[in-house]
Amino acid sequence: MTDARPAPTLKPLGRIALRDVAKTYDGGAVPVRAVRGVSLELPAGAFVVVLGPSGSGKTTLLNLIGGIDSPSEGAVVVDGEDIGGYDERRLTEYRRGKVGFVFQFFNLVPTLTALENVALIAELTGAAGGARRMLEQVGLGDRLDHFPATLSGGEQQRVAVARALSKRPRLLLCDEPTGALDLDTGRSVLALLRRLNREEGLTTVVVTHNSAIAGMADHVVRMRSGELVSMDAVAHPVEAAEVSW
Amino acid sequence: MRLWLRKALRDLSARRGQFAAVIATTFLGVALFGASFDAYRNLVDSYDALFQRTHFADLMVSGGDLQRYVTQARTTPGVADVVERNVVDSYARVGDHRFIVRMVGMPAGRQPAIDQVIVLRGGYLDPARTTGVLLDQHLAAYYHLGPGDSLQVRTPFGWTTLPVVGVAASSEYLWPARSRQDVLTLPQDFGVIYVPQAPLQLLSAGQGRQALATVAPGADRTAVVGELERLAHAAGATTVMTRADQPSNAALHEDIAGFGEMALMFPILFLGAAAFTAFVIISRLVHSQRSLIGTLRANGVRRRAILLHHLSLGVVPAAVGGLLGAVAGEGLAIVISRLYTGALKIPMTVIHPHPWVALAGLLMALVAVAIAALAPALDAARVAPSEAMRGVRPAGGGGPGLLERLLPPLRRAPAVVKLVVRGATRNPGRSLTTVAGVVLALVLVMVSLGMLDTTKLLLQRQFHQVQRNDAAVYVSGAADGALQQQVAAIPGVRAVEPALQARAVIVAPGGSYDTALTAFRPDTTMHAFLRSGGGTLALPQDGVLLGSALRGTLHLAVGDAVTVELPDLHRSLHTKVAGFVDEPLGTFAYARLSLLAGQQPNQLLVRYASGADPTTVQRAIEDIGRVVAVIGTRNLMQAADQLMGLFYVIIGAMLVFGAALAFALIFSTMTVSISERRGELANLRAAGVRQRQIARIVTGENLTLVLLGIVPGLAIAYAVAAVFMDSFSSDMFRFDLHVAPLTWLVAVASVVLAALASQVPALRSVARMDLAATVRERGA
Repeated sequence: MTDARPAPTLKPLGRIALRDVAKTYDGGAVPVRAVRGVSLELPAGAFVVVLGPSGSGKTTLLNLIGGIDSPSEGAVVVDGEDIGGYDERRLTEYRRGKVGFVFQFFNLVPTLTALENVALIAELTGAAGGARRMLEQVGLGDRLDHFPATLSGGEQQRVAVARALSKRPRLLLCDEPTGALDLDTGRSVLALLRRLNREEGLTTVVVTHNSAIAGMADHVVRMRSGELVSMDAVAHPVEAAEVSW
Repeated sequence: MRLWLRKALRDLSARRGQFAAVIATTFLGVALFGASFDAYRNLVDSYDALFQRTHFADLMVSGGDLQRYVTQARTTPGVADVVERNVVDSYARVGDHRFIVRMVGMPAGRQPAIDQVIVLRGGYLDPARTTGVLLDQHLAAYYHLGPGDSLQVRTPFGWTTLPVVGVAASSEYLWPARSRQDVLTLPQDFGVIYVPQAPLQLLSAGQGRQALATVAPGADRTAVVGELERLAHAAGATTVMTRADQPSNAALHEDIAGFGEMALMFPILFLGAAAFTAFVIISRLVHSQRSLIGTLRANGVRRRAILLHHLSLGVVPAAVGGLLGAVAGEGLAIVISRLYTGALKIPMTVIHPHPWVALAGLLMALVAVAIAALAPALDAARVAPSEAMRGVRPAGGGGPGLLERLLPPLRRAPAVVKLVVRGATRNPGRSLTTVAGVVLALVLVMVSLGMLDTTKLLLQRQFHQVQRNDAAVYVSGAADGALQQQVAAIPGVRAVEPALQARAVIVAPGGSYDTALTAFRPDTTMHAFLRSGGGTLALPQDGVLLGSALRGTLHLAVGDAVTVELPDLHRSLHTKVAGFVDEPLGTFAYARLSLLAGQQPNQLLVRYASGADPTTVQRAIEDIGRVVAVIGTRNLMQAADQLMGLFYVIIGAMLVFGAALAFALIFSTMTVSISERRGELANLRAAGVRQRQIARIVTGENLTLVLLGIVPGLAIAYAVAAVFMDSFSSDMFRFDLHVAPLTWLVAVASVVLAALASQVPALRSVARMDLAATVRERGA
């Protein structure tokens, strides 16, 4: 669980391209079209914010990129491979090897310490380890042996980030990572994500309904009613500390 | 209110697998209760109807100044009838077969006032045919005899041929028991015939005289019988036997009393399991819906409505299962009643609907489950509105668990191992319910298996450890040395010993007990006298060994003085209790032959050489002139097995139900346990953890809990099984719980397998869950 090895440099994920992607859920009598006809490309190593109101399809988009859902139509091409056609086993391997998730609700294992929560994923996915360093990296070097119940919301979310990073993913997907946090804590988590993106070259996609966060992105994707409204590059991204909501 | 009901129905539907377990266990409990209790009532009613129809005696008296007793009894208020008759044991022959026959005297031409028979085939005794006899149905069935056939009976004039005029059934020999202590008799070894009283009286020369009495309808039976008993004792009677002690009635009463006990005990277990399952499910439901309940409270929903809603989650499935069980129980009761009366050849089957039994079963189920649901329902009603803002409380807090405190090296184990170890004990309530489920499942399985083991051991012990002879040889005259040599010379006979067996009444200050005394050589190898608590006793030089039941029945202790009256030998022994023997079947008395000085042995006990064919050796012994019958102990073991037959069927059914219940119970606790952790598991899946890794983690946690439950479970199951078996013990059968080593393994293995199988549906649901939706749920 402890580690002294230097963290290997992350190799950024290649291009992520969505081509005419649609996702329809069988919602009983009326099918729900959560995403329709979305085509876009995410540059490798970019910090992308996906913005949209509730029900706009942004989380579905994230899930399709992350391989926890498959498109009903279209292709999701990652590193030149269409993961949309993967079966459950291959999707698991894809997530296992390449993707780290951070969710709004941290879903930490309450019986494991911060360090153990992070180490668990590394153990189960056969990753190189580095749990302690990850926690130090997210600023929790002095909270390693604390159980989730004794950590604040921001600290728990940091553990969740460290957990996502522990298996050395090449793509970090965050679904409303500040949704359950206050402003200061939310800022510190965003700062962390941005720093990791810059230092590790980690392609990062943050889904949020909070438009204030858009200012710190390299690219902003806007969604409404399941459709892509726009995708813009941000000329001068601001620092997380400057973000306010 | 309709929406409230819809929510209840949808809550039930969302956890249909778990609530189906409540329905199933309630169904089983109520169906078992209805079936067994109704059948029990039907059997009691069938016996009562038969006893009434045949005017079954309330009291039988023999010995002493019988005439004086009869005269006084006839004038005793409340006495309906008093009749006299002779009952004589002899030997009979059908073809090559010889057996002990009991001749019961009946007036020819008309049924007696007491202990009538029901003629099944042919006609009743005809005064014109003084040698014509009625065969008891068991004897007739075994030898395929009927009206027009004949059998030979040994009389003072030698073997006499008696024509069969009919086949009959009687209350007295529904179970053809030779005596209260000798209930295990086979039709090939013992049979009853009803013969005209007048010639029998002449043949018996006054032997076997009995007086039967019945109490008038409406009279105080207990008081009248008590008065008759007093008169009988005053007249010096050697045998005073009430209807309850009558051998056949006592044997069958034991049987259906056991049935009646099981009719209560097993349903209690099943309904307990149903209540437990409901408690687990509703508790977890309340836990997962606290914020919702808080929201309802915040919006003004009354506590009472929340209480009733959550109570309904237990009561509705219990009502469904209970109603179905009540209907099934009524139907099953009819089937069981007919099977039982058919198997025991009871000529009358009374089937009455007992709606109150079904209603009682349903009420028991509703009350049991409602009580179980009350605690979580009250918990729900006490949820504060502020909880609406808190979300779901985590299922368990942090910190090293009990196992890590007990085994410190676990603290250095990998996180996966810690996850398993702490996961098993993270939520004490949940862990306890799972452990309790395991315990209850073990109880159900072990009680049934323990009963089978005990019964098997009882027979093994009786016929291999206690009775070590292969056959008892009944002779005419004395079993003297010359006869002993003759038998010993037969090829296949390994050992022969003389013995003396006689009916005996043990009289002590605490009362008297009718049994049999067997006297052996001091160095006998034909019988082992097992001591309570292990080891064996030697036959005492002075005094008698008594069955251990008499310690309590007659309040006797070693060294106490007793009188052993031997009515057939016309003598009494004033001796002392030299010890108590622990025997599974019957309560007998044993002594050395020398204690009965001057009395010749009346039977030979024989052990066959290994490899000898018992039938061939038996036939060779029977060919000796003075031998009148040879009774093989192997046959007796078969008789015991036969007597236990229905018991085995019931236990087998209980075992199947118990296993099903164990599965349902573990299934509900496992699925609840897994469903509470869907969020965590979904996160692992989202992180790319393979399904089989998750299955291993979940299995590891569940098996840890199962193993934690197994140790106390086995101890509790053993204690419950011991109580069960003890409730079946009497002076006729002694059931000391024995659990075979294999049974422990089978019980543990079946519970572990049930646990493994029961988590499959939950694991499949984890595999199929919508990761995208689950990881976003606040309460995931």
